[in-house]
Amino acid sequence: MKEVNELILKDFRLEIRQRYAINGILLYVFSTIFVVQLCFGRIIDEKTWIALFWIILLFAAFNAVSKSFNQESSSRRLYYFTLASPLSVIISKMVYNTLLMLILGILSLGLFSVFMGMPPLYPWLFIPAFLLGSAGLASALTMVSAIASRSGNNAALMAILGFPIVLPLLLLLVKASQTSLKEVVEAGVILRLLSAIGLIDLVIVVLAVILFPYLWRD
Amino acid sequence: MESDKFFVVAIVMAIIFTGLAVYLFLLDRKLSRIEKKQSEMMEELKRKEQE
Amino acid sequence: MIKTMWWKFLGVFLVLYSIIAGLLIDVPALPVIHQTIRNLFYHVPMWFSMFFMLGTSLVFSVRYLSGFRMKDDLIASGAANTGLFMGSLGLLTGMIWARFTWGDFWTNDPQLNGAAVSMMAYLAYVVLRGSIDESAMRARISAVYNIFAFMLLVIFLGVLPRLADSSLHPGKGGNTSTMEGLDPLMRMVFYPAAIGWILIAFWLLQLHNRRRALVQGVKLNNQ
Repeated sequence: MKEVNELILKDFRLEIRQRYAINGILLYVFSTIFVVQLCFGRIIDEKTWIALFWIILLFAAFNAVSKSFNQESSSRRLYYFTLASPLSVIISKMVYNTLLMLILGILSLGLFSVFMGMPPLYPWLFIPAFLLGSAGLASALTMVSAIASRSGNNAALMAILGFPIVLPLLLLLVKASQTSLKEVVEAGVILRLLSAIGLIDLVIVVLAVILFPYLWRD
Repeated sequence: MESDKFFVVAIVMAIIFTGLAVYLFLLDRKLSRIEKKQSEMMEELKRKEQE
Repeated sequence: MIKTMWWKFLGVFLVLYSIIAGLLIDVPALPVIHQTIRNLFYHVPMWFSMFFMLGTSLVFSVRYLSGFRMKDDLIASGAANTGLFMGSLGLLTGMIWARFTWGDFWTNDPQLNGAAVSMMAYLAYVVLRGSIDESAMRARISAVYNIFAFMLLVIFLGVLPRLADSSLHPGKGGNTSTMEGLDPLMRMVFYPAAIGWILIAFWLLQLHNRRRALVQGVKLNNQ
């Protein structure tokens, strides 16, 4: 547990020290949303809003997370390998990326409501779905970026490998967001959607924990 | 049923599929022969090395 | 020869039976699809055999990670390739069938999307394999991706159709089994067809693996 904390702190410090990376992603989110605003104008129907929101967040996540194993060049990876267990490495990366993803998500929610207005989303469905979904997207992409980093590490490969993996989650999130457009959503429906998203999250985390040691060793 | 003449189509498709199956079968036999030859060659190599 | 090859003959026999019987039996008169319901005997077994191949690929990936034998990796990648082959046949035949019953080559249907995403994941698997040069590393990394992708596909195919409101494919939006409303006479043809095509797919897989084993010098001793 202490190891995990240390590793998260290390990632955080690295991010602060090399500010260009995080700034780049923030600027990316900002400019994409701005372009969307220029193209669509302020008036935009609710389904399009939801689709655009998740697509932009997905691409931002791809950009943000794909760097997470880039910094670990092979010699530095060898160094970590002797210091930390693979389990704490993957957990720390997933937690860190989830935090990053939440920041990005909240930022883009804010920008969306500034530029394009906010559709009336039912908060008791949308907020938990958003939190669970961000965590799931971040964890799945962390695992994919670990796979891509062991294979020549190009951005195209990350996208190719990542899309089929995150698609189930993305479709569920869009579905949950569209459902939350109603004024009141029944508890049963909320529970069903959230448990489906939670199930996918759980599977992703369990698989990542089991499989990551095979990626980490040489 | 008679006027449909479905059976003509059935015969044609059956012939095509049988042809493909026979082709697969011959391919399988040929592979077996090559596999046998390869394992014989490997054994011969091993024997030569031991000598 | 009969001892080792009986299942191949069985596969050929079952498929031949399904081709002939599938055209000759009387099918129930249905609106919209009419006689094209016979495609059930030819199109659907493609998907069945694809999923059997992908399942085989998963099993051998897991086996590779537990023992690191190159033989298992070879079979896993061969099964993924064979599965992709059967899947593309299923996709093509499905598109033609869809064009003449639903009016479009592509419809926004959960089952169709699920199939497309499975194909995408396994094409990505092939690309991933192509991008790593060292064979032990390639085997290990691609086995990890294979397991990860397969599990999420299972969820995708299991959960999403149930959440969708409607589907053009039968058996969705309520009952879970595709085969529930099937005419008993058609069952007599459909099940043998599916089993026959699965056996044929395994035959193709075996040929593929033996060829690759010969080229790469890997030993596959249990034929």
